[in-house]
Formats: sequence, structure tokens, C-alpha cells
Amino acid sequence: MANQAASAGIAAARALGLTPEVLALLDRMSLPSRRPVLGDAGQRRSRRTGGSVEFADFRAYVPGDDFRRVDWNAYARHERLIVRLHSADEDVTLTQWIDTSASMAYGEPSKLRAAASLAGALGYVALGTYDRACVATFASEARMLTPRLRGRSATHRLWVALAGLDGSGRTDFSAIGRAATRSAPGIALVISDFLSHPGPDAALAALRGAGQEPVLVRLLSRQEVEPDLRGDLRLVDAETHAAVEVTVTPATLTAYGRRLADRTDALRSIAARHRARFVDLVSDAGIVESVRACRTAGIVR
Amino acid sequence: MSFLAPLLAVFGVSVPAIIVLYILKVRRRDVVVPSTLLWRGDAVDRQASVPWQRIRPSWLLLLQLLAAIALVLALTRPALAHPAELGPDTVVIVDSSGPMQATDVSPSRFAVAVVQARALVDQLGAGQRMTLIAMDANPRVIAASGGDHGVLDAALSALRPEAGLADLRTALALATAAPGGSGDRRVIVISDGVVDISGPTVTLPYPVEYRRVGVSGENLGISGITVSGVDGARVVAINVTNYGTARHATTVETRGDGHLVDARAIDVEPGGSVEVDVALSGSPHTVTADLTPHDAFSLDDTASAVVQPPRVIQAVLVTQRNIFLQEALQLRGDIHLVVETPASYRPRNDVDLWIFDGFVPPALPAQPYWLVGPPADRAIGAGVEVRPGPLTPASAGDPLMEGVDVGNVAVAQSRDLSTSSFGRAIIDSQAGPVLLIRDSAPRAALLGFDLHDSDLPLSPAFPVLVERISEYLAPDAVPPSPVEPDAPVNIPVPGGGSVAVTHPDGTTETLTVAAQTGDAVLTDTDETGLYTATIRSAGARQVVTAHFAVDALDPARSAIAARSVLTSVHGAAGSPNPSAQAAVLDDLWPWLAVLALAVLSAEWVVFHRGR
Repeated sequence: MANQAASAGIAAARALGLTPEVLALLDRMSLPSRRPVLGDAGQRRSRRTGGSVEFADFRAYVPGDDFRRVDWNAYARHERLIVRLHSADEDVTLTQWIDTSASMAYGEPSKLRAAASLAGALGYVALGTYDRACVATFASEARMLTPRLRGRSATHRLWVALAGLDGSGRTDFSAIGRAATRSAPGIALVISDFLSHPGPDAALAALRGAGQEPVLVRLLSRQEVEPDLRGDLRLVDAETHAAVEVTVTPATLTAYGRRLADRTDALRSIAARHRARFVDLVSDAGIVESVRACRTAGIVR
Repeated sequence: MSFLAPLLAVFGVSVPAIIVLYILKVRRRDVVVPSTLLWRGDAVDRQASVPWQRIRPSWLLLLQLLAAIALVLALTRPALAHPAELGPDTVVIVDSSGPMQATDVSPSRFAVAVVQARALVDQLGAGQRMTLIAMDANPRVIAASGGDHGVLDAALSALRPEAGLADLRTALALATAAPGGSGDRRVIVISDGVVDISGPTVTLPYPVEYRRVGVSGENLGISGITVSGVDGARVVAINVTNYGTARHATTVETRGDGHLVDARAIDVEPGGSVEVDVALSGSPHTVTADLTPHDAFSLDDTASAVVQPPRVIQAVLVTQRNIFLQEALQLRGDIHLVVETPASYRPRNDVDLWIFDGFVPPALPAQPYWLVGPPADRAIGAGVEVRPGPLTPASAGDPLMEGVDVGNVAVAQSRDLSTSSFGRAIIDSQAGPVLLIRDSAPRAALLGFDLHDSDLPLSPAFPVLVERISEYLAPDAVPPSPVEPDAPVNIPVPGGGSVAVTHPDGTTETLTVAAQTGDAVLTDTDETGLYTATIRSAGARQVVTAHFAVDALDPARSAIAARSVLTSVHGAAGSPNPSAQAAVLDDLWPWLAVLALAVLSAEWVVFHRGR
């Protein structure tokens, strides 16, 4: 059974472009943590209190807290459930929100495949350094693709889940906002083409409110960066099916490039406003270049 | 404006077609894109449900419409009609007469006329012919009907202005008679209108166009120069006439044999004349008057005259006794008459004129002679006695009979000259001629009756007739008074001989003496000034040198005001100087094609800038 899972995982990794050479590169990387994160005890030392032996503080029990950390003596005295908090090393949960809307199915290779490859690579990094990783998708609705995984052995499961992604529906960043409260604190990587309106502003606020450190990865296809369209066209939106009639001329393309740059600047502004990192990738850049761009942006180190 | 291909205006539908193309929606290819978010700024139309769209302002549309309109107009071949300069057969008469030397237009009327004629030559197209006629005192065809620009240009280049007055009548006659005549002939007269057109109105079957050259009529000229008096008391009278409309002042400089004699400032009223009398000191041979400064027409600003020495004709009257003839001859102050009897007659060379009365010498002299009442003589054709009856001039208008009335003259009897070959008849009668003149050298006259048999000596016509005949037989060697330019000058050489004439410019021309008339005729008198004739008479004692002057004194020439119309000329359709001309069309399509090309080029630039 375990061998079958491993074989499927290896096949999925190949499908995602995660060759042994790439994995060897990823083995030398790990997730950073810019600030203390809320989490359970793990290998990282947290400035937050946790489940280690070094007492830090008390706080009221909330559903989901480990019963083992309830201070039953305090309950006896106060008849209130109070948990003890300790300063401890914590794991980082890397939650990767992948846009699976219809627009992500375009490009050569498709933006969705590039997104899956990147998610598989970063998940491999997280799981390889004993951090936690999970993958969620969003389009019209958000869906947790995997539970929070831990340990390198879970990478096969992660890759299998990513290899089976399919794009459909319309991008709705509010779906992330709605699901953000259910995700574990940590790093929230939102991978999308961000070609929808409204933008990710509200979603980033929700993620930040849920104690997550958001990172925006904008992934466009080469055809979107440098359109090869000419002439009189009726452009049909893959998600909304709305049609726009244009006469594509050099001037039109110049105006398109100007609007794309404006859109990029707007995304950078939104990211900065929410203290999020921003990475701009093109789907045909390759997994190695994409990971390096993430390392340049401080997502991995 | 007219259109040579109006049917091609159907291509005008291209204009609304272009507009329709802009109104109709473009059939666009559907392309599914991930998102249209970034394309919405370039959306051209979002109304997919209607086949048309609202037309929007567009430089491309404007330029395409402009190009289409220009091309359609070019196809219809619009043309502007304007009077035709030339027809298939054009006769151009270029005035080269004296007044055309006026410089009221720069450089001169003649030069302007040549330029205009050359412009007409330049317009001569294929299948068109042109005849060039130079119009002066002796109009002539200088380039016969043809289309060779080189020939026509060369003829114009060789043309020079003359001094005479333009003979329009002859020029028009040449224009009518020019070869290649057809109904399409047009005659163009480039002139100042100062022409000799005396006589009846000239009617031509062709249109005649008059192109006036010259703007001013102001001219002060010498209209007369006369020398009178005798040596030591000679006076030259110079008449200066103002032909213009404004008062003019000038200085009359008078020179005798080239030396300044007098300089006198005068004012001349418009249309008036002033006579300047200058006393000549010494005995100059020639006198020249000059108006300084010269005006726009300098031809009449200088005039010359010859101070003729007193002329003496050595005449010998051989007669038994004829007091009538003797007295009549002696009325002429310039005749030194010697009366001899037939018995004492002997031929000699120092006689200018012999008069034989009732006598015919055995050998007729080499000098001019007049036989009066000869005896019957077979050699001269004097026959038997006849009764002539009433006398009449043999031909009307004979200068010899001018002012001589012989109608009431009675002649009792006369020799029968009807079979004589002596000469031409001057006075005729019922019985044949009674007075014959021989024009060949030596000149001679034959009066068939004895004066005593007639009352002619008692009539007033007699002394006049004697003077005319003696003048004719022993004429002046050269004209005693100035002659007009281009007027022929007869230089009589009664006994035959040779004549050489030196022109004012120093060139010498040898003239041929006509054996029949005994005259040498100088026709090249175009140049004004003093001419010198050197006459070598056959058998004469010495070489005679005589001067004569050619002056432009004719008021008709000096009245240089350009005429607005050519009077006494009727062209086709009876209208005088018709200006109606055949119309020619200037095709405008090349210009429109160029415009369309330029607009299309602009449209191409605009299109590629917008892409």
C-alpha cells in the first residue's frame, strides 16, 4: 500500500516537473519565519507560548485547545478552563491557496500546472524541514485539497493532490477570506493570475486577521505578458464569457502592456498594504526559476 | 468646367461604399482569453446585436473619402476651357516696322512682339502649322506654313526691326495667300497698331486677333528739315512736332558736316510743332538735326539734309529759231541754255541735254535729247503729216502729265508717230501719239509737231510740260530732299554707267543700272542718315558724287500711340478684330491623380502610425 502511494507520488512529481535535480535543489531550502507564529510545539522556537516545559502564561480555553494543556488545578479553583502556555519551538504551516479558476487553465504550460509545480516544490521544502503544509484551492469556492501534512513522507500525497488539479469556474478571492479562519496560522501563499475583479484586498485582510503571513504569487502565461493577437477580434472571457471586440494593433498592444504594468503596480500596492510579499512569475519560466524567484522574495531560504 | 468622361462618375459610389464599410460592423474572430480585464480599454464596440455601428470621426475615413473623391473626379476627366492660343493653321504677323523700335515697353516693342511670337511657337503642337510674316513697309513671309519649331525660332531670331511704316494691307494679303489655307486658319497680328491701312476696309475670311504691344504714345520728333538760301546765307528750317499728349521740352542740336552749329532748347505743346531756323555759316555739305535727349522713339529724333550746290544743266537747243521753246527752257534757273543752228551742230560730251527743233542729227547723241517737230525720219519712226485733232494724255496718272492740260490745244499737223517704236506715248490724239518718251538710256523725247503749227506754246500747259520733260530727261542725280526710310531711290544714269552707294553705316553697295530705264534703284534705304552715291556715267567726263538723306519724317510713323483696335480690318463673321477664339481644354486629371496619390500616402502614414 505504501509502495503504491510512493509510486503515485513519484509519478505526480514527474508530472509536476519535480525531477531529482530539482528536489536536490529544494533539499537545501527551508521556510523562513519573519515573526513569531502561532502554532503547536515543533522544531522552531517560538516567541509565542506553546506546549514546552518553559511556562509562559495562562489563557482561557477555547475549543480546539489540547486538553492536555488544561490547568486542571486552576479549573478546580476558578471553575473555568484555563490552559497553560509555554514558550516553545513551533512548526510553520505553509498553506498554499491555488487559483483553479478557468483562466488558470490557459498558457503554455498552463498557469495551473505552473502553480501546481510551484506548490509541490514549496510543499516539499516545508515538509522536508518538518514544517507543516497543506494545499487549498479556490475559484468560486475554497476547498482544502489536503489536510495539514507533516513529514517528508507526506510529500507524495501532496504531489498526487496537486497533479490532479483542474481549472474551472470564476475567481472569487472572497472564498479565501471565508476559509481563512479555518486554516492554521502560518504562511499563506496565494497563487493566482489575479485577473479578476474585485481583487485580493479583502482576502489578504482576512488572512492577516487569521494570523497568517500572506504571500501573493502572480502567475501569468507568456501569452498574457506578450499577446500574439492581431486584427479584428472578439475576445471572450474564459470565466465570465463576456465578449470584448477589439482591433489589435501595435498601439493596442502598447496600451495593453501599459494596463498590465498598472495592474502589477496595483497588486504590489495591495501586497504592501497588507505587509505581504509579492512574486511575479510567468508560467513558462520553469520550476527552478520560479523557486529561485521565491527565494529572492524571501519565501524560502 | 466640363467633364470629358462624365459616365465614369458612376465610380462615385465608392464614396458611400467607404462610408458603409465604416458603418457596418467588422466580422471579428472569436478568441477565448483568460480574462478580458486588460482588454477593455481597447474595446471598439460592445453592441454585438446590431449589424451597424455609429460612424465615428476618423482621419482614415476622411483621407479615404478624399482620395476616393479625387480619383473619381480624375476618372471623369474634368477640364477647364480657355481660349485656344493656336488653331490648326495659324498665321502670325509680327510687326517689325519703325514704330516698333519704340522703347516704351522694355526692351522695345519689337523685342516684346518677338517674345510673344516665340511663345506662340512654343505652344505649337503636333498637327498644327504656323506661318510667320514680318510686317514692315515690305511685308514678307519669313517662315512658311510648318510646324518645325527650329525653323520658326530661327526666322524670329533673324528678324530685325525696319524703319518703314507697317503695310498691314499687304501683310494681311500674304496671310490670306499663305499656303495651307483652311477654314481653321487664324491670323494673329502682334503690333502696336501704327500701320498703313489706307484704302478700303480689308475683310478676311479668317478670325483676326490683334495683340497690342506698346503702352505710350509720347513722342517728340523731327517732322521736317529743309535747307534754303544760297551759299553764305543758308538757313536750315527744322520742324519739331510733339505727337504725344503732354508738353515736352528738348534741345535741338544742329550740326553742319558734323560740327555743332546751334543748340536750342524748345518746348512743344501736345500736338503742336515748333520750327527752328538755324543759319548755317560757311558752306557745309550736310546738316544734321538732333533732339537731345532722345525719347522712347529715337528714330525720328535725328534728321539730316543735304545742302545741294546750285545745279546747272548744260542744255543745247539746236534750232533755226524757236522763241517759244527757248523761253520755256530758260524759265528753269538751273539750265544753262545754248542755242545753235543745225548747221553749227557738232556732237560733244559736255552737254547734259540736247533739244533738236526741226532737226535730226545724223547720229543721235549719247546724252539725253528731245526731238521737236522732226522731219520725216525713218530711223525714229516719224512718218507723214497727219491731222491729230484733239489731244489727250496717253495714260491717266502719268507724272509727266500731272498739271498739264492739253485738252484745248489745237495742232494743225503732226508727224505720224503711230508706227514709231521710239518710246511710250505721253500725249495721244485721234491720229496717234504726238509725244513719245523713251525711258532707256539715253532718255529721249519726241514731239511730233512743230510748235509753230500749234497753239500749245500759248497755253499755260506749255512751260510746265517743258519743265517736266526736261527734268525727266536730265534729272537730279539723287533726291534733292530727304526720302522716307524703305522708300526706293532712283538714281538716274541717263547715259548708262555704274553707281555705288555708301550707306550711313559705311557699307558700300554697287547698284545695277537698268538698261531700259537708265536708272539704278536703291531699295535698301531702311537705315536713316546720309547716303553717298558715286555715279560713273558712261562717256561722262567725271565721276559724280552726290549725297542724299533718308529721314523718318512721316508723321504717320512718329504718331506711335499704340492703337486699341486695328481699324479697317474685318475678320471672320464680319466683326472687326474679333477676339473670339476657339476653346481648348486643360485636362485636370493629372493634378487630381497627384492629389489622390498624396492623400493615399498620408492615409498610409496615418494607418501605420495607428497600428
